[in-house]
Amino acid sequence: MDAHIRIEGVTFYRGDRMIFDDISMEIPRGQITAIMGPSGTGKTTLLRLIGGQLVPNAGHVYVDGQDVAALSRSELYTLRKRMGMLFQSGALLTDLSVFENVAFPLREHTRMGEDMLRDMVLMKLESVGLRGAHALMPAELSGGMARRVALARSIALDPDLIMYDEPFTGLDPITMATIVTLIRRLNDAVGITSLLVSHDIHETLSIADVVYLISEGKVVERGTPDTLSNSNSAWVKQFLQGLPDGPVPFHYPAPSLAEDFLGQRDA
Amino acid sequence: MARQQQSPQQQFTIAYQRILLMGEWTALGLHTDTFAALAQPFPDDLCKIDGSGLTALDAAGARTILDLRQRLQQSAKTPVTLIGFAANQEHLLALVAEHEFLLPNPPPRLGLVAQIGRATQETGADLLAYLAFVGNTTGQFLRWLARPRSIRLRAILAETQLAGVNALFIVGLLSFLMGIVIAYQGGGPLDEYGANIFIVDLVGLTILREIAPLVTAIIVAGRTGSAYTAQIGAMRITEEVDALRSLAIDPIEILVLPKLLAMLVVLPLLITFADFAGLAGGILVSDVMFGVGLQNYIERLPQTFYMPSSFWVGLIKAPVFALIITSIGCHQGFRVSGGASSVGYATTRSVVQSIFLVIVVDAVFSVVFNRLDL
Repeated sequence: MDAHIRIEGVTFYRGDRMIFDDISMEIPRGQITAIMGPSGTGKTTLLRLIGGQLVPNAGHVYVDGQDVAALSRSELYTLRKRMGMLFQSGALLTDLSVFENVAFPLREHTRMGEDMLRDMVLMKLESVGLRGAHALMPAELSGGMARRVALARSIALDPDLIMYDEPFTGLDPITMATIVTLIRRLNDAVGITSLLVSHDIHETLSIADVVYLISEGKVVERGTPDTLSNSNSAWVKQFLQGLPDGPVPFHYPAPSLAEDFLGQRDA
Repeated sequence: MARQQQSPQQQFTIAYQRILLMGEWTALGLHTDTFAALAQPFPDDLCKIDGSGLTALDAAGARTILDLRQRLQQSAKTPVTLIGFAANQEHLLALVAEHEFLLPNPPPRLGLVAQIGRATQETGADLLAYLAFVGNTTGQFLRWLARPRSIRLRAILAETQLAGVNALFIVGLLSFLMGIVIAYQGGGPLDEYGANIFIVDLVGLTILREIAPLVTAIIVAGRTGSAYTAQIGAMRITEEVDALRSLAIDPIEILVLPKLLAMLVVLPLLITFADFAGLAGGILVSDVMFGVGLQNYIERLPQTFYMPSSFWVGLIKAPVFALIITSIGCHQGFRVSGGASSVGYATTRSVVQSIFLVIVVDAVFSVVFNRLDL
C-alpha cells in the first residue's frame, strides 16, 4: 500500500511536556485513517506537524515523499494547497458570506473568471447539501451547517488529502450522520486520502479503514476497526468501551493521599 | 453575618453530656454565629453528638461535625460517638471522613531577586517575540513589493476608512479643545506682560510640534490599535487564523500588511487635520479673549522662529507612530491563545504598550530635533 503520509520517529515537546515520543505511522493513500486517543494526547498537534505549522524536535514527517520540515516557504504553501483541513469550529471567516468563504481559496490561488468561480462554489456547496444557503452569513448557521460549509471550503481547491479535526464533536445525531456520510462519500468519489482525528468511537469506527490509537505520545494499537474491537489489550478495551477507570486512571495525578494528609511540613 | 436569616436561631444545644444538633447543617444553612459558638470551649464530659434534630445535612455540615468530634475527642476521656443520625446522613459522614485533605503547602514564595529575574525573563521573551513578528512582517512586505499585483488594494482602502475617515471627528474635536486650553492657559501670563502677540508662537509651536501628533497617536492607539488586537485575537480563538494558514494564505499578509499600509497613509493626514483643528481652537480663544485674531496669525505664524520646520517635525513622527501602533496592535492580537478573556487582556496590553512607546519615542524625537537645531 502506497503511503501518502509517513511519520518516522517523531518526537515533539511542547515546553517541557513530551507530546510525542518517537512515534511512527503510515497514512495510506486514498483511504480513511482515523487517529483516536483520549483528549490531550496531541491529536491536533499531529495534524499541525503534518501541515508544517509545527516542526518536530526529532524525526521526520513526509507528505508525498517530501520532508515537511525541510520545505522552503513557497514549497510549503504549494503543499498546503493540496491539503484541506476541517477545523472543529469550522473556522469560517466571520465577515464573509457562505459563498465568499468557499470562494475565498479560489480567489486567492486561482485566476478563474467570475462565472466559472460561481459554478465551482455552487458545485462545492451542492456536494455538502447547502447550495441554498450560499447567501447566509456564518453567524446565521448552526454548528453542523458551519462545519459543512467549512468542508466545502476545504475541498474548494480539490485537495488530495483532507484532515478532519474532531469532525463529530458537539453535533446532533442527524447532523453527525450527515457528516459521516459526507466524509465517506468524498473519499469514495474522488479517492481523497482522509485523516480523521476524533474520540467519537462509534462514528469513527464505522467509517475508518485504518485506526491508530495513541496515548501518552505512543501508538498503542494499529489496525482495522474489526481487529481493534477484538483486541485483548486492556487499554484498547477501556478506550473503546468507554470505561471510566482502568489502565487510564480516573484521577489526575496527585500526591498520594498520605502525603497530602500528613503534609510535608518539614519539606 | 449570615444575611439570609434575620434572627439566627440556635443550631445546637448541650445537655446531659451530649450535643444536640438542630436545623440545617448545610453550606448555606450554617450561621456564622454557630461557627463562633462551636469555637468556644466545651465541657469535658461530652461524649455524644446527637443528629436526631437535623433537618438537612450536606458535606460542609458533615465536615463541621467531624471537626467538632475531633476537637472533643482531644479533651474528652471517653470516645465521642455520633448518635441519632439517619442512615443516609451516616453514609455521608463516612464518605466525608474518608476524604480528609489537609491544606496543601502553599507554593514557595519567590524572593525579590527571583521575582525581578522572572519579570526580566518574561519581558525579554516578549521583546524577542515582538522582534520576530516585526521581522516576519518585513519579509512579507518585501514579498509584496516583489509582486505588486498581490497587494490588496480593497483591503487597504477599507482599513483607511476605518482608521482614518471614521476617526476624523474625535481627532478634530480633541485637538480643537487642546488648542483652546493652550491659548487660554498661556494667554493669561503673556497678557500680563503685554506680550499678547506671542500667543501665536505659543499656540503654533505647541500644537504643530507636540500636541497634534501626540493626541492623534494616542487616540489612534486607543481606537484603532485596540481594534486590531481584538479582531486578530478573536480570529485566533475561532481558529480563523489557523484556517487561513491551512488555505495556504499567510495571516500576516492578509491581516497585518493592509492595516500597516493604511495606517502609514492615514496617520500623517490625521495629524495635519489635527494641526488645523488645534490652531482653530487657539485662534478662537486668542481672538475672543486677547485680541489676537486670524489676521495676526496669518501674518505672524510664518515668521516665528522654528517655522515652518515645526510643521514638518510634527509630521515626520507620523510614520514612526503608525509603525508602533500597528505592529504592537497586531502582534498582541496574534499572541492571544486560549479563551475569550485573553482577548481583553491582550487589548489592554496593546493600548498600554503602544501609548507608552509613542510617548517614549516622542521624547527621543524632541531631544534629537533639539540637537539638530530644527
